[in-house]
Amino acid sequence: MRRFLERSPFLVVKSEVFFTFTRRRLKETQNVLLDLARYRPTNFGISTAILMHMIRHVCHTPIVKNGYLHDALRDVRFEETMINHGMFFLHDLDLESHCIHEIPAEDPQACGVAMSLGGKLPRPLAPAQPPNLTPTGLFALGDSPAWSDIKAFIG
Amino acid sequence: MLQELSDGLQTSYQLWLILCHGGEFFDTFPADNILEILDNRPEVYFGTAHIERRLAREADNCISCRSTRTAPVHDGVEEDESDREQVSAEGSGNTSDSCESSAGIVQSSGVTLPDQYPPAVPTSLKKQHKIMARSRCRPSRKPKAPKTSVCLITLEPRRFQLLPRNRQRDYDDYFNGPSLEDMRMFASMGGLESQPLDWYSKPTIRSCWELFRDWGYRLEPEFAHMFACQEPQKVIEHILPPPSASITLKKSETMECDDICEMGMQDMIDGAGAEGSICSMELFVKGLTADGRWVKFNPRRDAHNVPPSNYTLSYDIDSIILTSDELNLSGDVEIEVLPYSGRTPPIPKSNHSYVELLMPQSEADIEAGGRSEWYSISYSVSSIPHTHFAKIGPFKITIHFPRMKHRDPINDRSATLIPWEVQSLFLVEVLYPAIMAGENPSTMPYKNFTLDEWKWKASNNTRFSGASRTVVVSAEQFDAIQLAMREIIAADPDELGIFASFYLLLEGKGIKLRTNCIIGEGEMDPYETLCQKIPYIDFEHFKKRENGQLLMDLGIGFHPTDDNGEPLVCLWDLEKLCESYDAAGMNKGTTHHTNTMANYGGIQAEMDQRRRSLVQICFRSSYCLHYEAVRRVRGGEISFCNDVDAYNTNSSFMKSIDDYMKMLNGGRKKTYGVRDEIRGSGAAICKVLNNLPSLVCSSRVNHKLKYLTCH
Repeated sequence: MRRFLERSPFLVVKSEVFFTFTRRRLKETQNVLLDLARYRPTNFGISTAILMHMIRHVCHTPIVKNGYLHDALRDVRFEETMINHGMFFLHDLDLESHCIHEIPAEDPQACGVAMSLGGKLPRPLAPAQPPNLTPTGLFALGDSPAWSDIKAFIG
Repeated sequence: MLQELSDGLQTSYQLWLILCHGGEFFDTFPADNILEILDNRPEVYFGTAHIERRLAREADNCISCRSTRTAPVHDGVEEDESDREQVSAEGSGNTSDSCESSAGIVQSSGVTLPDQYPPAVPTSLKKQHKIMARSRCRPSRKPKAPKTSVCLITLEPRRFQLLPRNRQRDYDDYFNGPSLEDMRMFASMGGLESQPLDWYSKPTIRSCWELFRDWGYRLEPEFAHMFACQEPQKVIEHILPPPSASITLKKSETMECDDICEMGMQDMIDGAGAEGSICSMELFVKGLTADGRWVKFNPRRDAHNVPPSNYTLSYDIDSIILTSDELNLSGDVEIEVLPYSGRTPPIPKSNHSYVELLMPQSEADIEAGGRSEWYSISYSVSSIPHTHFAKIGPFKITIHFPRMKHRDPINDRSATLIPWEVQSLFLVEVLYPAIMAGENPSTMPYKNFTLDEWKWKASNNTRFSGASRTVVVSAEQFDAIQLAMREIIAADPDELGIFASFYLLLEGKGIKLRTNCIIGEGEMDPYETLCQKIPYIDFEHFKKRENGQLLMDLGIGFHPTDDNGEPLVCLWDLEKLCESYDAAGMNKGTTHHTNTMANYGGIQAEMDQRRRSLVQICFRSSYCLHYEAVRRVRGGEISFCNDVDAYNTNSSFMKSIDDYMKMLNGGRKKTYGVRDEIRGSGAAICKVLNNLPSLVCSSRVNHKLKYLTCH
């Protein structure tokens, strides 16, 4: 046991940092999903499945039960990205085109069936206004400046 | 057909009632006794369940059907007793070992003695019956040491230790039962048999009495034993074995590349900008920085240095699993008197506890007279048909019926949820009489009810029946009930034989808070605390091999404290943890990645079967306690909404995310350490508990806990 502990088998981080990071990852994944929901690409079903898998993965280890999700995670190189980059990042996400590349352009039938349970049509969301990054009379650095910009501004 | 006829009668009767209420007139009117039968359900009057049982039994004994089942599957397989082959249950280490054909033959009048067991499973039997591929004869198996390597702890091979036999009476009915060939009863389900009949649109639906029947499995006295002998071997060495030193060197190498940016958690929070901005989404989800570089995530950049003395090491006993054919308890027991009505059985997934079931004889062995085949297979207790039986304190007792073990012919999964009809038969014919046998006139008014009466008493209203109803019996009565149940079943083997060979399993989960102790502080360890707080279970009694199999979960917690009161979170390093698991001889198991982090999370794995048998540790689980912040009911259950809610971006989706955010926000002010759980025999866990304080204290004094510092 002594030798086991000597090997520092665990990492200690501040709770503030860990939970802020975890919460932020959850929130931003939700924001991405809402962004795609506003434009509803033809493969929004698979995109939702991937993003929900990431959301569940924030606190749990979800089991992939659907074949279409299994295929989609392979398409976005889930395992390789996680190992090579220390964490899974959705490299094929394109927020300018509001879609995820490298997955089928249209939802497979099984996905369509799974996403239409209850037979209700999704409520369309209004496209979000892009944050104003240019200086205004109210905010010198725009509506939503980056923290690095604020630090640089303060000096 | 019988069920359809009964249902049709009911439907016609209901239709007739509606028409009569609607003003229709008919020439003939049913007699009063007929109306009474229809009012009280015709299946009850005609005893449909009884007829179904009889029919199923007749089908079992049908000579024509039996001759089809006993036809040889593989041509050219000779019934040569000389081709017996010593094959381990793990399928490795084959060595030829011939034996005398008469070595293990026991006549039905005699009792099996240890020296009469056959040495190995014949290859011909394995070829003829696929199910026998994993079978073995534990009593006569050659003792083998687990595989050895540089990093693995070497162990001495030990022979499986048998319990003393009763020379007057067999432990179970080994000479009357179905054969291996009878297991093929539904093997042809994919063919003509499963097709709809021309006059009936539905495919063949099996009666529950055809499926939940005696399939020939029997128990040997050592059925509950997962380990070779009473004393564990080198168990301390298998507790938290250290990972190799080479990993740290590998970890210190950093990735240097122009389009890669190594970032920790704080770096990403600082560099993301405002929440919800494109930059933030790209950084946290896509892993792309504002300057167009890919993120290489390295949480070691956020490592917090904790002084060695600032760790609290705790230990506890988190759960208990006790398997025995006879549970002698010292407190009042609440016995369930209604059928179990859950969607899943009481033990829905493997709890890493196994029992050894004796396989049925082959037809050839039966025809030869007596029994020479004593081959068994280890099965998870969760794969055996079982139902709730009783409760005592925080412990639940389930009753398991190994004779009814089978796979569903439609989905090929183990059928473990016992149908209501079968449970009702057990309650009415076995349990209620057994309870009543030990009662006196003063308690009769509280306990003497029929199944329908109990259902009515348990019901909340006219539409919904209650799920649970119990009667309290004393410890002495509980012992008497178990004995009476066996006697009742033995008295009517034709009707109640399916319930014979039953055993009981007592399971208590989540008792860590009752037994938690700080290592090196206080006078009592978790086992002593457990014995003190749960006096109605004699754990010393059940630690002994002859009284069943006791499994305990030992939890070891590591909790950091910061000098400045800063709340901290610990994360298991998966690479080092994997090395430790490998050194302990664990199987590959399941790895859980916290927030998709490649190298941080938890691992769960069972120990290699041969090693487990000697060390007496069967399962290990390591996880980070920050999971407790969002854990609701049971570990592994996910409370997020469904994908379809996210697809529709409805309120369920928004609420479930908000709830998790709230819980995660709360976590920022709390400390969460890490935990390692080891499931092993009572003897093994007690041995560890005795040694753990001295191990921790000595390492604290001599090494000043420098190993706990995270750099």
